[in-house]
Amino acid sequence: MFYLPIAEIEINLLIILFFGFIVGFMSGLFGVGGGFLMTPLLIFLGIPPSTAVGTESVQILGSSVSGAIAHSRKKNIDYEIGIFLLIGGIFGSTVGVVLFNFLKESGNIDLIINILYVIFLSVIGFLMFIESSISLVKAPENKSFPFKKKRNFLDSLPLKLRFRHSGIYISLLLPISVGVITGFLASLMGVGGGFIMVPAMIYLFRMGTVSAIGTSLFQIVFVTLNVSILQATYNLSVDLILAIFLLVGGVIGAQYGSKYTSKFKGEQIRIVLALIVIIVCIKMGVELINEPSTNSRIIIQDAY
Amino acid sequence: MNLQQIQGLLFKMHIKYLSKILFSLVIFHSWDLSANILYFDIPQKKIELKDENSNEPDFIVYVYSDSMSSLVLKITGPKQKVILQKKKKILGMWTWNKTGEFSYPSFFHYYTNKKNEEIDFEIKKDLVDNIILIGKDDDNLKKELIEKQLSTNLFKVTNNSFKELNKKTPEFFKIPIKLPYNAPAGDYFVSLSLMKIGSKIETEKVKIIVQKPGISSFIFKFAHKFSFLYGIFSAIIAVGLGLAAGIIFRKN
Repeated sequence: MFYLPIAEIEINLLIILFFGFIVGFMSGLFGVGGGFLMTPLLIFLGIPPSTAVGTESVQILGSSVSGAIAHSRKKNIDYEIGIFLLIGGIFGSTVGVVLFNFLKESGNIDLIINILYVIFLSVIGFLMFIESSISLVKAPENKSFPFKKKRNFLDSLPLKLRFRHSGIYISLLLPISVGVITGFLASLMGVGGGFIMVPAMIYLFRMGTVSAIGTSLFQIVFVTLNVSILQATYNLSVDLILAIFLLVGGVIGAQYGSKYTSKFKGEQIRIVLALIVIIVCIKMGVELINEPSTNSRIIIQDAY
Repeated sequence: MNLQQIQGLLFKMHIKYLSKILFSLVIFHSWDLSANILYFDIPQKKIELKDENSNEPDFIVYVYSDSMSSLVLKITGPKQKVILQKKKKILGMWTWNKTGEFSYPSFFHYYTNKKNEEIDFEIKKDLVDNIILIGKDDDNLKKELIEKQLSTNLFKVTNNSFKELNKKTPEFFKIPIKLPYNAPAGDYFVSLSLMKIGSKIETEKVKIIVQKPGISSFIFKFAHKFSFLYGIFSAIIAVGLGLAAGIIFRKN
């Protein structure tokens, strides 16, 4: 057993390493970031939700950095869009940390984290489950481009710029807004935000998939860097020991997970992930209505 | 013979000389028999917390008192600011509600030579007096916080804990102290008080430094005292580990 100094609980670090490995394995297998699975699992292990969120930012930072560098080498990052995503991300995450601090002091941060998870996991889980079930039943269609380039209200937004790397002409309000939303969620939920950013870049910005993934990773690195420092400074919610063990387990797990990806069909993988997300969502929902075992609790603000 | 010499002798704890010390004390203080002599010493000023499973005391306090009245040894820990939250139900969901913000020493341990109402009252009063509620004062909230802290062993009262060193010298005692492992590291203060009906004599506070072995204590201090640097350090470690993992697995 090891005493986690910021989470203020005793825990077996082998369990943390194991959970890091499992989530890393799933990240590698399913090709997702894993933050939205790791934070709830840490909460189930007894880590205070605020510490789970703050620590996850550090873990995501560590696990994203090598991927971002690899994409940079392959010139998969659209830095022009990335900068606007980043401006929004830094703003959104800073506002998020300030709100986090307010909610932590008032005692409602755990409730907000749980509610946000229940909402997002239920939406993601059910959509993914329906989409993958339909794909599994229906015969595969040859879709070279999943959507038609129709004009919509997004095309009428002002401050349009041409982004040469991706070959798109969009309002810079789009990447800034997406950056603000993902940055805000990163600070409140301990996620990277790739699950919002990548679909937004593909379907709203009409970027290529690889470029969207690379640019998303670029934004995640700097936003989680900002969130990690701010969470540690204002909310004392970063447990470095916990983050290190999660990172080590996660990195190893991801290597093994990615080896198994090619052995399954995409739809099969997505349906399993959808079921996992739904189970985690149900567990989070139950946590919301479960009465805490103690009547009161003490939160240390400052130690001299 | 003066008090400094007593200190030296207590420190060495040469029991066979205790009768001679007592004799000297009687001669030296005979001009003021109404005053009580109250003294304590802690040989170790730097204390490293032992493993939670160890039964050995972390340190021993040696006490001299020529009065057999109510004696209380008090140990207080580093100051902290905390928020007390109570559970609350909103729309069928459980959450926490901030009830008060407090500033007080993180640790209060009392060791007494006997259990009586006078001591109990003084300890409760001392706790309530030392817990500062930021904003409007509320004794009920303070009591709730005290109860919460008592359940974590960070606040504790141990009665009948003064052990006689020798039957022939009933004025000399030792108090073995075992600090709980969740006690925060930092500067602690120890004081001894003698209570008689209507009056209280208290010695000066003696500072001791409590250290916790291992990285947990270092991280706790680092995170609380230099939180911005801790954030940067955490980010550097994460980036370093991420890059290292990238290099290792790329080679493989």
